[in-house]
Amino acid sequence: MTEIFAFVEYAGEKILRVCQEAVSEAVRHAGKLDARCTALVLGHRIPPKVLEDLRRFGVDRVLVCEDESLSEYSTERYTDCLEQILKKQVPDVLLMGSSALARDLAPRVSARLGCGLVTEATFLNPQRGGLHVTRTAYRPHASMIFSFRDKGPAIVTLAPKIAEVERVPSKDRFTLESLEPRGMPLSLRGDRVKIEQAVREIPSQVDLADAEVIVAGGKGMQAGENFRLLEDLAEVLGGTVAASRMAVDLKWRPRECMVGVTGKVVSPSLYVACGISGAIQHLMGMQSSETIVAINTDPNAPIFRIATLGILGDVQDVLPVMIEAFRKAGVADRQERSA
Amino acid sequence: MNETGRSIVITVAPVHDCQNPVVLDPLRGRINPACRQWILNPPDMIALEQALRIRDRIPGFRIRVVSIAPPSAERALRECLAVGADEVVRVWGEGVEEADPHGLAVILAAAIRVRPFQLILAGWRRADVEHAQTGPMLAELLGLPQITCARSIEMGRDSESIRVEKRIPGRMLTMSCSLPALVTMEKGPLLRYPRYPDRRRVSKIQIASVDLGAIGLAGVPPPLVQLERVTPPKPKRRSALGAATGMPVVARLQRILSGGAQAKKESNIRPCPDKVSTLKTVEHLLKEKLVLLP
Repeated sequence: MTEIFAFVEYAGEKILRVCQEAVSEAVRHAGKLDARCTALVLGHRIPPKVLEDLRRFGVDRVLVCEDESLSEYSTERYTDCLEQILKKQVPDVLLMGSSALARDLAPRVSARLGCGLVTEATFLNPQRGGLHVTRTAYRPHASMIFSFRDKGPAIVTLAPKIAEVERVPSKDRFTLESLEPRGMPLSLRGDRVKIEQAVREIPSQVDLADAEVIVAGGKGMQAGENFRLLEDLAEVLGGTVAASRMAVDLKWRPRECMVGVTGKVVSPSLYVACGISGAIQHLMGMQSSETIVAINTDPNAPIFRIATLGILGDVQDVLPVMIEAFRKAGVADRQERSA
Repeated sequence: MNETGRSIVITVAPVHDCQNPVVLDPLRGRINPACRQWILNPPDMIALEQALRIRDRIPGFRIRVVSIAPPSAERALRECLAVGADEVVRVWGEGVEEADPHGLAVILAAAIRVRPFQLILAGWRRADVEHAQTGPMLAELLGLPQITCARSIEMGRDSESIRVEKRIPGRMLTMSCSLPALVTMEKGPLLRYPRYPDRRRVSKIQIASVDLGAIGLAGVPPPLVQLERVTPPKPKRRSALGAATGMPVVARLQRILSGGAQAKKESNIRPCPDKVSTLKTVEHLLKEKLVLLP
């Protein structure tokens, strides 16, 4: 293996988390295999901070393709662009983070180039015979292991939270290369799909079923006013506030935000249950959440049985400290990133 | 065939019903075919409902279901006829079950190309293997514009364009697209329930099987990715037993000796009576990446 590409997406000045993971994974494998690791960034007026940040991931090369037509994602233009790049550069692997964009783009590029694709990979194992990629299927009963036919780059999208994000000292041989879109026969045809309207969602108003982070309160909150604490926590974590049946029946929260059998069934990546004992009807509505953090005063509360982490304490004491600590960590995180 | 010739194609996949665990054949590294229980892919059923709704609003569309399915799935496919599809095409041939997502897309493209169409609808992924590849690949093979993971579709009055709503993290997009096009559905209203007389009516219908030769294919296209093995999933890393938990050695040893079973209940509970312990817990949450700050 001689070259690994990592596809980089950014929002604002920040590289998407899944892409940070993909870049880190690519750097790790490239290091082990003595291959070159290239980060590929497509866009228009790419913020210098994104490129600077990539240096800190330890990539050998950043390949930038800037063009006005790439400012907004469009399936057809991005496919055309990637096709041109991958035909010229031919890496062994193109690693992408599993994002909404990758789900749209990766299969299309794969079909265009006739090269293999494995989505939502959980483990990459480069062997002498070629790359072996593991992914889960028939959740949660099986894993599938795929290999690639040796034609063109192997495209892999990496499932979220599989790889660690690592920042390593920048390499001396770091290079930044610009691809001239003018030099490439990039067809700048308009995409047949037009975006008519894009409405920005405010995290706290996102439909519960779509929320990535949910902060829920129950009878243990003791009063409706105390839900202000949950709103603060939701703001810090970028989440939405929900409630148990008890809290809704006591008219502390509107019925729309009830989680459970009679309310909404949710499966966010993080569910924080505050003062919810975890009656079976509630558990049914949220047990498929990826991470469950429960705060409760009763050590025998059923919620602790399914919680990834249980916090034994009073929400009134724990939450203010928690909010403050997360807020501080968030500020520190941002400062570190901008430094 | 309908005079106006307007038609909507739905691709429907029979998938394993994941309510029943799959049984693996460890020697061959494949799934034991005897454990298979076919249902129609739920996201594809959402797509079918969208097509029916389009026809309810603008009559005259012919709804054509194209499915790569074994003969045993015929009964399930009749459901599509019962709710109102005009035609079901079942494609099957030797070696089809071993086809990769690209191979399936090639077969579907060949089967769909036979007749003119305005719109192809599909579920955004198969509910069992969750590749989420065949839709965009099909669009590419047929040279169509695509919109993936849509929430709703509205057909223009002239039947020449569609408006589609789609959610990406943080934004709700309204997109428009000229036809023909391919849309994959992520969410939407569930498939309607068939009326009893309709179910009776379709119960006798034989769904004709189309083999690969009839749609101009010599065989299953060679796979781009080769399935090496299907294995049981790796057990989750038990970080509760690792040194990183910060528990005393004796306690950890006890937990390991007890098989983790008894201690597990308390192991993930951290008492936080004061500020210091709460701060420590927050630190732990961030360190273990249980909480990711935006």
